[in-house]
Amino acid sequence: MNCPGQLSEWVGLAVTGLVLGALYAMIALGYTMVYGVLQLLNFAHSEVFMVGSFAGLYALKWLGVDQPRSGIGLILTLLVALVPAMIFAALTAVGMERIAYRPLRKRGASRLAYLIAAIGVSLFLSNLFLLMDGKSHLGLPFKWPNIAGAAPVAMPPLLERHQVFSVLGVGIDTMQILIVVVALGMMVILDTFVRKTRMGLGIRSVAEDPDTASMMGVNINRVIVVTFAVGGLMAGAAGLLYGMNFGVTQFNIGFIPGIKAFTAAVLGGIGNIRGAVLGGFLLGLVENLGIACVSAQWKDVIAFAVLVGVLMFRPTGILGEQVAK
Amino acid sequence: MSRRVLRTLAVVAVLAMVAAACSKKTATPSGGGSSSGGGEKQTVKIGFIGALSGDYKLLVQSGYNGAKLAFDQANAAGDLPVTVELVPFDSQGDPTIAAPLVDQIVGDPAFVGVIGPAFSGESAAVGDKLDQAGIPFITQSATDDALSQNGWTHWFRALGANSDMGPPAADYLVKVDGDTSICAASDGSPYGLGLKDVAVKQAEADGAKVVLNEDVEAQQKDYSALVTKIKGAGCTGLFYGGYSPEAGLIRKQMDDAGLKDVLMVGGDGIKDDTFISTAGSSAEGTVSSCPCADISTSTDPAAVKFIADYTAAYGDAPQIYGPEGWDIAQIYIAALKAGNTAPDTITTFVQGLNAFPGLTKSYTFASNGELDPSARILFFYEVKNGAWTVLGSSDQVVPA
Amino acid sequence: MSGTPRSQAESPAPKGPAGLRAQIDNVGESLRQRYRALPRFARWGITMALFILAALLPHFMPYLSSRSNYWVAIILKIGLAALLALGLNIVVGFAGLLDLGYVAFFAIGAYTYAIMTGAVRFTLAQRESLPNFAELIPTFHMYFWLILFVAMGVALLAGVILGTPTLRLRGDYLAIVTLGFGEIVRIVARNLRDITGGPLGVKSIPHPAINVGSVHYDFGLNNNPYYWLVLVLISIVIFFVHRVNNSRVGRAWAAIREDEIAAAAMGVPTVRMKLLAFATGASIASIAGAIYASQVVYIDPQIATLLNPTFGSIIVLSMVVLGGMGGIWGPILGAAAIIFLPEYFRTLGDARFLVFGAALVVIMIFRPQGLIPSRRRAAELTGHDIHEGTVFETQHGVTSA
Repeated sequence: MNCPGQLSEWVGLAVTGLVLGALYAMIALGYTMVYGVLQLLNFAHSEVFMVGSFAGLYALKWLGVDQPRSGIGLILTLLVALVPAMIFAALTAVGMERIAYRPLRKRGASRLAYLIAAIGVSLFLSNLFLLMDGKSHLGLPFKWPNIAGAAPVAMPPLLERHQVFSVLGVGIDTMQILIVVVALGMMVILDTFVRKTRMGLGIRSVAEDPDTASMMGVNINRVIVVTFAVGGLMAGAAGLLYGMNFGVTQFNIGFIPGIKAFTAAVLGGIGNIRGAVLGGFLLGLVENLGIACVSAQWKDVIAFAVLVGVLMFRPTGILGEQVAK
Repeated sequence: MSRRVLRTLAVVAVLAMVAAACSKKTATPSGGGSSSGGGEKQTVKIGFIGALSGDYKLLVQSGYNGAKLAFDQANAAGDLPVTVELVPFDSQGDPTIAAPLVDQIVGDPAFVGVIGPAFSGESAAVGDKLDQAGIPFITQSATDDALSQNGWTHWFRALGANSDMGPPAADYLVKVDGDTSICAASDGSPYGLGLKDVAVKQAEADGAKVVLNEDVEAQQKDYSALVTKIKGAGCTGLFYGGYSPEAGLIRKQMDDAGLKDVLMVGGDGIKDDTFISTAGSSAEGTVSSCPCADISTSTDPAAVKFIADYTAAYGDAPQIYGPEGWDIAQIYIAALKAGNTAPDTITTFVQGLNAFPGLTKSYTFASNGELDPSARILFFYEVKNGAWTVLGSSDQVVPA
Repeated sequence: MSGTPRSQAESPAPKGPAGLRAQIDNVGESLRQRYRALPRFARWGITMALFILAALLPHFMPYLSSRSNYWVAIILKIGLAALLALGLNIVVGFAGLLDLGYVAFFAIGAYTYAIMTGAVRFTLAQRESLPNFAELIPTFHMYFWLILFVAMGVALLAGVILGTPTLRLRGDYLAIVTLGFGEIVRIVARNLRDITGGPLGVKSIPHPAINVGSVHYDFGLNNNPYYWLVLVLISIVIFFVHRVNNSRVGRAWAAIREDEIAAAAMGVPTVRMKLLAFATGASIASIAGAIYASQVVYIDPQIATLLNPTFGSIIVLSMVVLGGMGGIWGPILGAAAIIFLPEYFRTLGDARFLVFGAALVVIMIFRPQGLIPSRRRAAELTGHDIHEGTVFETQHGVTSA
């Protein structure tokens, strides 16, 4: 144990933790919404995130970003890159629902079958990107497209990081501000969508009681597709931001943030949208502050210890399970 | 209707994938080692153990390619008493995967030697078995010092160890870069941790203060916590023991956090293209102390021919440990040419080598399997204009 | 679940690929019925003959292949995997608990053995180059058999400690908590260097030996004795599973799996029964881990990774699912297929997990009961009524809309 003596180091860890937490929260929303309507833990959601980061990467490359931009050019480029990142991620999410989950749902398969299929989808997608390295694989007579491969792929540097202001001696840079602003903005939009629109009402009603909802004329299939799509949009944006923040993307980029976001969703109360946001920020903060005094290797142990601790005292998470609230 | 078509298609696609995989794989063993003229020749096998897939592939693949090239040429030349087949065993760099692979080598009398295991962890995992089975194994890149303390008779290390590469790296930080407070980090792997430990000792012996000593988890993307700690520690130089995917990210995230001035020095594990592609422009100035030879500018005709042949065969120039793989293959070829076709006589042959000329160095092995100190080499490399460029040998770069 | 009669699920539609599947199932079913119709001594005879045949396999190998040692190594690997798969099958197949950290118990067994035999102490001493390190070298001894029980106990304890808070929760949470537990075991093994040897691993782990009276037998590097040991353990587990399946406990597990709330209402002590399944699975994995450590002589924290290609949690889960959850022969066949196929066709390399992933999805959609379905499980996994309308499962059961 040698805890940092300076306050600035604690604050520095807290800041990076909150930024990370914003990203966890965005991913956690996808887990929580799908769970809300389907009671399915969509393990493959981490790959939706991964697809988003790759789509964003290629959008940036396509836009010819090779050095940082600023001003209106920056905002436009970012928006243009966010669109494919979000759309491809949403398509992936809807696609997995269509191909893997709907056949199971039609048969009323057990939850275990769902979970195993979800793990399968996750392994399949991440390894598909691993194999797309421009070489032949599996003895197939063609070369796979060169999109990802085993090695990390560097993100084009769109945003120049520089300190904007400082809090208690800790500089807050442009990237950190961008991530938190985009994350909060999208969460507000999502919250409004779920609370104020007809579709949002549909989602809430299915989450509450699918039988009654369908008797009242709610098209359950459509609600499910929209739920997957909305979760995918959030994860796609998070994927691009995550890649930009850490500078790379890779076929396995989704694994760790996926597990963390999943943990965050359970922490906040799975199925609960505001719970996911709270859980995300809390988890990012706790795991970063937790390693102030011990080696960074204990990070995941701290995250899971917090999860088990919270579940022991509040078995339904901090805010409880309900999408409607 | 369309649903059934879709389902059938899905099944057919999966079956086709499996079938395609099968047909290719079954073809490989029967087609191997075909180029010999006689047809009556006995086939001997040399195993290659290392990460031929996964994250650490780039550190190993070139060594396999180099060795494969050497054996292909020797088989084609036709002056070997036997046909040699190089059999790859993909450990992904993971000791747990490597351990069961060795049963296949030990259980097959056709195996007379092994190149590798490429990494230290897997060497520790499989060494006892290979040694007790009496099969010589020569590693091209495992640098953990403890390996030579195992009392293995059949083990050889064709390069320097961590204790050859770590201390000069620390000297570089203290004496060349002039750092008085140093941060040290590793990926917690046998290689990285061992390297960091010797570097930390040397830095302290040089009079520098090691203000941060951390280990991180490999295969993550987020090293912001480590970077925050480095920032808080206020060091001017970082020694990193580990491999390039993580090192590249740490280098980049340090730059992003405003730690451009902190010099990063690592061992051979960071000296590949993955580091440069991951860190991008942040890679500039990073230094690696590597017991690997840079032969790209060599005028030695053998080296020039090797580079040309390698490039012709694989489409790009040899990377790290490519020449070493070739050299070890040449040692085996020389042993076979001298009529040693059994594992124990090959071991005796390798033990008796005296300044065997290779592309990278002359090979003489001490009785514990280590390279004779006079034969060990160490070069410093620096990233300049997006490529690893040699700075010079360690005695040129670091003042005594 | 709902009261739909079981027969409906067992009479599949006889067209297209479904027809073929039905035929395969029919062959299996008729074999099963013929076996059941045999008198008791004949059934015992068949079982014993199978066992003897399996035990003699290493001796047949030289006639089948010039690389017999290699194939024995593969069979041993299959045996260890089958032991793990049978253990996980109790957790997933019988009690319906998705355990994604199963490999953690395997690692606990391996480390218990490595620590108790003094291999860790020796490794650390050698690493520090202590003057007397050579004296610490662990030798093979009878303690193996004792430590096997200790390893079992430690895993049992770990299973209970982990299970007690989490098994009270909703089933889905178990997946994430066990996943985290697997990571925790790996990280702890990496970081507590003085106890576990840390990331550098443990070497020179001693082989087992038998030393009773005038009988002296050292397992050594030969794979055969390990194989026989694993075979005996598999037989014990099969016997145990067979007995339990038809007991009060087995029926309690089935009830929990199918509807936990109803089971609780019927007076089944759900938490205790789930804990029993969890801990039983854990101790079987732990035994497999100890044997693995003694055979391979080297372990390091990486054995506890989720995707370890031989024993990772996901791989063992694939074995159980592919072979058929809830049965006995299914997981064994699954283990054999998943170990043998990549070996036979050389390694699939980077494509391994792509194929596994696709296989998991395809099996869940088209044959959720696996290659050798368990009859009790099949009815549940294939669902009850199949029509194009929306069938929607909620926490409370299946409803059609």
